Amino acid sequence: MRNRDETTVLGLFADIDPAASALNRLQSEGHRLENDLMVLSSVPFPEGALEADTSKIRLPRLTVTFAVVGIITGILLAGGSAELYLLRTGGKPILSGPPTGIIAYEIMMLFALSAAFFTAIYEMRLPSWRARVYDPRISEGLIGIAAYCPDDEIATQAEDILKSAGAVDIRRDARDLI
Amino acid sequence: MDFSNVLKSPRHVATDENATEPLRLVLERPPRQRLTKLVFWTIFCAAFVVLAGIVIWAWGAVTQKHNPGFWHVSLVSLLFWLGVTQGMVAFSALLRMSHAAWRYPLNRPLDIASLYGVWGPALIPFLIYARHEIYGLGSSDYRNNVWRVAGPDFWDAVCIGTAYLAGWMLLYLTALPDFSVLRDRAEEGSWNRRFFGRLATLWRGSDHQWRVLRRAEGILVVGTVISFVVSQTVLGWDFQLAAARDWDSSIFAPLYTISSLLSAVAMTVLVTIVNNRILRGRGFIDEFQYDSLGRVMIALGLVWFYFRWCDYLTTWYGRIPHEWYIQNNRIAAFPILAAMTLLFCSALPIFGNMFHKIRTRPLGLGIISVLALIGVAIERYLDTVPTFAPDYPVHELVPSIPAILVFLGLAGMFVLTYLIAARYIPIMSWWGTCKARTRTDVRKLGNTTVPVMVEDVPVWET
Repeated sequence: MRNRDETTVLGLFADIDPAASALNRLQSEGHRLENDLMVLSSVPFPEGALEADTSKIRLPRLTVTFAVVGIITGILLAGGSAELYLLRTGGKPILSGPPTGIIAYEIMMLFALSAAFFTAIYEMRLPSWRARVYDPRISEGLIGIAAYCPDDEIATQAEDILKSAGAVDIRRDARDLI
Repeated sequence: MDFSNVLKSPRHVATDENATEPLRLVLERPPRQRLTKLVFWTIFCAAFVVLAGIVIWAWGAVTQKHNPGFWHVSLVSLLFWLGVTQGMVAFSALLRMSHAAWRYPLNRPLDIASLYGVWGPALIPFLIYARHEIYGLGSSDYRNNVWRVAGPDFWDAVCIGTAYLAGWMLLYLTALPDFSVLRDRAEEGSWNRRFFGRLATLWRGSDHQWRVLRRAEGILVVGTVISFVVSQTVLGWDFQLAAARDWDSSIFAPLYTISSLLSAVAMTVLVTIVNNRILRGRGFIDEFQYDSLGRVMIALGLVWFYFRWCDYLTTWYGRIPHEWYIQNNRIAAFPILAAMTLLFCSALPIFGNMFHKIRTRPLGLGIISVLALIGVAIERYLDTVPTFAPDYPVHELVPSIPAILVFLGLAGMFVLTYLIAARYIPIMSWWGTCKARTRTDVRKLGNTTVPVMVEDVPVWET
């Protein structure tokens, strides 16, 4: 349940350096957690240039996990069906390696790629049906620095930091940050 | 050299009229003249698609099953187009993997080729049906297979489908930021705003979202290339070679894959030329792109020749009478076509593109690309159909007019895919363009100026 005083302050910057300066000051002076700050931009920056959230991304790990699940499923599907439908073909063993391997490989690719896609969507927190902090001017090239503020005093402090760093516009946004 | 401020703010490029042209093409109603052209080409291509469908299902499937001049040619036509479209997506992935600086204007148009697979439900049954019929002619012992569940058909569909699926996922994820910009720039309350709002699913461009996108893109491009190779191997061995009579080749699948990639690069050149015309230049595509594509064609032409030669040499050296007869048949029955394949798939891409003036000009590179596509199409035909020559007179092996209609229908499907996709997806990645432009600059170094670009550090170092 959201507190009545909770809000998000969004500062819009025209250039990278002032935005980076504001972000550094908010991080150091505001003692904020990773989830309390967010950089919004329509174009990606080199990693580390403007980054508020440095939390671990589980995408590679989950992709590998589902690849392994795919291999096991493929082996069970191909090997299992061969054992269930006994049909000797061209002198080959009932449970033969190459066809089982190929099917395991196909299922591995299908599982790994699907897992990568759905995990990416999940990690991006999409689809999101509730409105979140945003400003359409970001798609016109402005850089947004958003800070979650639990009370009015911290919000005023954040506004001061953003203003002194050179934000072209600052506003409070009642919508959720994340 | 002064490297300060190489990285520019997005606002320097985000509202630049040239950079936003692809967005404008989606959001604004085209002028009357362009709309007329679009409607004409859509109807023209759709007519060919419908005609090809009628020819295959209402006439070919009923009366032409034993006519290689129609049935086999239709099968290899489909293989050709599957190779081109999957190759284009794989080429896009390869450009990303190699961090090619010239990739940005090419990625999106190449990714769109994956949408050809949306027509898959109409195509794959035909592919499988045609193969069944061709196997029925005694070219291979299809029954009593080792694949059990649903036979090889199901696994072939999974394999070919996975390659397209990878392309769709890559296309959707990398188009998300563009959908969000389209949402923001569409008129308040308009259909476009609602539509792109749903597609963007509240993408905001947060630093976390960009980080995830970069990693997902990195994983999907590797998956796309792997799926492409596997899918082409299946198409090459299970559909093209298995449909050929009494011909076994262990190097055929790599050769087939390379041919697909060569045809994909050639088609990329043509799509790039058309895109450049539609966007009227605007600095998206320049000599750098054409030059690089020409160089890639040289490399692929050389590899193509190497594989083809290896395949020929083992047969020539072994001189097994039956095998030698099959191999030689296509040259003996169709000497001009065999010469055209060698010339268009190898000699021309290599020697034609060696000239800087030819490969850096759309006309020169475009002509080489059209001929390379013709070369690969002929290659597909020669690899399968003439192997039936001992049992059929040559005139029955020549592509019939309905078979050519099927090929044109499949070509119409390709053009139609782009015409429909371009209505909803910017034909150039807006954020990709902006990313390249915010990170590129020209700096003075000694007595010269050099282009400087900020590249991302590898994912594993972050």
